[in-house]
This record gives sequence, C-alpha cells and structure tokens, in this order.
Amino acid sequence: MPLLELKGVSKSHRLGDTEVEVLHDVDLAVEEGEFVAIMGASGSGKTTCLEILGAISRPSKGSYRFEGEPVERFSDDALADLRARRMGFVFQTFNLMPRMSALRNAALPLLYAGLPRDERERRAAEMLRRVGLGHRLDRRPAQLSGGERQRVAIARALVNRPRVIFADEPTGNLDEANGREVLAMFHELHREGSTLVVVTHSEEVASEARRVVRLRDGRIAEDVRRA
Amino acid sequence: MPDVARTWRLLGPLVGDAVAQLRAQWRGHALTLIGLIWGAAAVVLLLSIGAGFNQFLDLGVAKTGDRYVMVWGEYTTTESGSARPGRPIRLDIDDLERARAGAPSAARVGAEIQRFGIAVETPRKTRSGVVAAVTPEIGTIQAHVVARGRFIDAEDERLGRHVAVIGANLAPIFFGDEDPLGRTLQLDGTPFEVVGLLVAKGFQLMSFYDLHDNMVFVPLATGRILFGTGRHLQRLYFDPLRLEDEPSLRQEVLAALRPAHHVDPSDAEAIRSMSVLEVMAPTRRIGFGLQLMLGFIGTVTLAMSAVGVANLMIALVQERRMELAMRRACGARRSDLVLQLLVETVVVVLAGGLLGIAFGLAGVGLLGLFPLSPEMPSASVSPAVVATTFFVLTAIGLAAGIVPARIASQVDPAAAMRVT
Repeated sequence: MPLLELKGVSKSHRLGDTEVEVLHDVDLAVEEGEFVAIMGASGSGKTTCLEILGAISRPSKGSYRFEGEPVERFSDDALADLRARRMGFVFQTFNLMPRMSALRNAALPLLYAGLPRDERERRAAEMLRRVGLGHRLDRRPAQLSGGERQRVAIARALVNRPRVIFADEPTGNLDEANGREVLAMFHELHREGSTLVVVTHSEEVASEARRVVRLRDGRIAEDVRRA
Repeated sequence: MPDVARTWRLLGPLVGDAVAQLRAQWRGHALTLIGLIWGAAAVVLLLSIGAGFNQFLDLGVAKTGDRYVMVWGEYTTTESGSARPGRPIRLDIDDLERARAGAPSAARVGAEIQRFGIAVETPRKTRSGVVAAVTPEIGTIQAHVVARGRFIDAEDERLGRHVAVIGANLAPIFFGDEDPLGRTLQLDGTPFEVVGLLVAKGFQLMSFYDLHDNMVFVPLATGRILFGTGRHLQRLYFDPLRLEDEPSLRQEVLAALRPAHHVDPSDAEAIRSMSVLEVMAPTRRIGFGLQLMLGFIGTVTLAMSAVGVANLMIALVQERRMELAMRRACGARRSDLVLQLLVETVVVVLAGGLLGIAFGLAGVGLLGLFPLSPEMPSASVSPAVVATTFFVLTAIGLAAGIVPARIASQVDPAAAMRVT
C-alpha cells in the first residue's frame, strides 16, 4: 500500500466568474521512504499538488488516500489532526512565528497534537540539536540567519516524527551555502528512511531526489525514478 | 461540542503568546488602550457613584432604625355601631399593653410622644426645642447609640424619673465644654437630670419635628405628665422578629387595636401604619435604577471602545494571515484559531481595562476628597463594583473578539504556501 496515493485528482480554483482547473486527472503514488521532487514551470500545478498531498486543500475530483485512508472524506478537524500528527512542512519563506523562540517555533505542531509542555519542549530541543541549533534555542527568528531559520523550520517539520515531510522550495530563499546545508539535511533524512516530497524549480534540489515528477499544465508530464 | 480538554491545554500557551504580542506591539495599540482605560475607568467611577448614593440611603435609614413599623391614630372613615365616620382615634397607654400582648411577630414594642416648643433651659442657654417621651425600647428601635452615660431604662419608666438623654448637638449648646452627665436641664421649668449623651447621627432620611441630634429624650411616663397628655400616646413602634414578618406584624397590631377603639376592620384609615421597608422601597428602587443607569452609561462607553478593539483585531488578523495559515498547516483547527483570537482580544481588553479600573479607583479616591456633604459619600468602591467591571470587561473582550476570530478561522492554510 502506498503511503500517499492520488487517483484521478483534479483541482479547480474559481477566479471571478471562471473556474480554472489547475490539476487535471492526476494519478500519483508515493511509497514510504521515497524522496520525490515535484518540478514544473510556474502555474504548472506543483504547489496545488503539494497542498492536496499535504491535506491543506481538498481535491475537486478524484480521491486521495493517506496510508490507505480516504482523506477526501475527513472532516476539517480530522485534516488538521492529520497535519499535526503525521505530516511535516517546510516552506520557502520559513514561516516562523516572529515573537516565539526557536524552541517554541519548533514545538508548534506538538501543541496542536496535544502533547504536554515538558514533552513538547524536550522533543523540540532534541530536533533543534539535531539540525545544529542546540545553542540557539532561545533565539527569536530575527536573531537567526536565513539558514538557521530554515533549520528551525526543518526541526519544526520533524518534531512530530511525521510519516512524510513536504517542502515547498526549501532553498528558494537561501544563499548557496545554506541551500547546500539544507539539501544535505534532506539527504540525511532520506538516508534514515524518511519520506520526502519536495516542490522545486531547482535542478540541484531535484538531483538529490530519487524520483522526479514533472508537471505541465496541471498534468504529470514525466515521472522518472533514479537508481 | 467544544473539546474542553484541548481548549484548556491550549489556553496557557495562547495567553502567553497574547501577552508577548501585546508587549511587543503596545505602542501600536496605544489609542485602543486609551479608549479601554477611559471606558473601564468610567464604569468604575459611575458604578461607584451609584453605590455611594445607595450607601448614603442605607446609612440614612440605618441611623433612625431600618425595620420598624410605626402605628398611629387618625379619623374613622366608616360607621361602626352607632359611631359616625370622622371620629378621632387616639392611641393610649392601654394600647401599648394590647400591642405587646397581641403582636407575637414583634421583637420589641415601644411608644413615643413628641412635642415641639418646649422650653429647654440651662444656666448657659434657654431655647425652644423638641422633646420626645419614649419607652426604653425606642433606643433600639430608632437605633440610638449612647456616646456617654445611658439611654432611658425600665426603672426610669416605672418610677417616672426626671431624667433626660440629649442629642449630640445639644451638649455644646446647653453645657459648652462642660460634661453634661449629672447636670440639670429644665424642660418647661421642670428639672431633669442628664443621664445620657447620644452619638451624633448627622443627616437623617426620616424625622418628624427635628433631627434626633437636636432632641431631648425623657421617659414616657414622665413625658406624659410634662406634656399633660394623660393616657394618650402619639405613636407605637414595633420591630419585627424577622424582616419577612413585617406584613403579618402589621396585621396583628391592627387586629389588636381596632376592637378597643370600635374601628370597623374594613376601615384602613382610622389606625394607620407605616413601615420603614415600605417607605424605603421606592427610594431603593430609584437608587438601584440610578446605579443601573450609570452602569449602563459606563458600559456603553466601554462598548464603544470595544468596537475599536474589534477593528484593531480585524486589522491584526489581516496582517497575520500568513502566521494563522501556518498554524493551520501545523495542525491548528479552526476552533483553535477562534480560541486564539478570543484570548488575544480579551488580553488586550483586560490590559486596558485593568489599567482603567486602577484609574477609576484613583478617581473614586479623588472624589472622596471633595464630598458633596460630610454625610454623603461621593462614591463608594466595593468588591462588587470591581467584580462587575471585570466581568463586563471580559464579556466585552469576548464580544469584540467574535468577528476577528471568525475571520481568523476562515484563513486558508494554503496561504502558508503562497510566497509574499
């Protein structure tokens, strides 16, 4: 059973009076432990595809199964719980809470997953140490470099021990050195068995993935697995 | 159904976040906070002014007895036997005994005759005054507090002693700086020994010829001779055993007195009764209404500032769409964001409101420096006033947070994906 499975998924957005279909009849299955890069030009539907995989939006048509469960039938609260307990997200703009310390930022999903404070802080500190920020627990985002911020975001994505990590242009706002550092981290996570789905424009990021799915005009144009 | 355990778990961290946010952005919230401070201070001040007025009423009543029933004779209005209407009813000394025997709901029974224009004389001063001839029970019924000496007692009454208890204002007038106790006071030329000096009552809400502070009290038996009233009494007084006994007490007294005076039971005018509770009821309603109105004005002021808070929070929600979307992406339910915004709004409202309460209390203190009269407190703070203001603040905070919370709950988690 695939970890993630889209079958005949389409997604439309309403723009004024017109309905615009941004994904057309997409079939995609991601197995546990895969590192998948979703690529495509702007407007190709890759971010929409990630939103659906990440249970952030629902398909207009078709079905989405997460570990065999029909996600499209989940209530809004059940989707939130799914994101809190079984998914991790890394965003291009880091999306950290500016007034929270690195520790509290990293612990955020655990708050909504229902863990007690001590456990939240213990696990968040452990993740921050793992991404090399054990000495920056009390720093706020403004006191961190871009690379450090993205590492906090990665710690936040990992803190709930997710079944899959979704990343949207994770190196898009980083300089080359920090970008390489983040990629090395993703490589390490994959080596340890994590499932990663990354949306990117960057061939360099895609080169880290073992599978590249290319979208064009909302359809899968290419799905290549590497050895 | 709201998930109470989840709400409780989130509350602590959300309050912490809200306080941190307020501390970071208080300059931006300054105008809103000023509005809240003004509103809360207005609520405290106006409620305290209302409470001060009510306290003034209560004190004014308590000074002359806060529960007694008074009974006196008028004129018959119906025929009774061969007697025609218009016959005067004059209570007498036997009625006192009838009332004592026939009113089991009375805790105490007393009688009084007041006369004005009595010549009160000491070597220092002579002037016309009001003298009340009373039974000893009147001391308790009319709430007289003895400053020095004693009040009229049963032996005075039994022996018809020529003793007097004087109101607080009379001592300096008739005796100057000298101690009045043991000194002699002439009433219409009859000497009386001063045995007691009363504590000053100041302003009274109810009085007949004069304030108690200006009156001389003598035993009823002595007064009847002094005034030449024979067996007649002016008024009977009763304290009910319990406040709720007051209506039955009145019925008992009337039932005990009417037959002796051949008054038809249907004649409500011949023997009249009045209770303090009855007289004070409309006044208390006015006091309560005043406080309600002042509280309403304060609450409206506060509610207007709450509109400012709601606008501020709506603006903040728009500004923080990315953060809220991120929280949703991290697993926050819509109800979690509703809770977050309600908590943030209540924190802002309470921050301004608690400062406003402090300013309001200071304002009450300032008003206290300029009383309308020595007897009347300008404003009175009570825990109830502060608790009411706190409750109103919290309610207004929650109300002001409803719209922003609803907007926040609609934030699409997909917004976290959109680069801005």
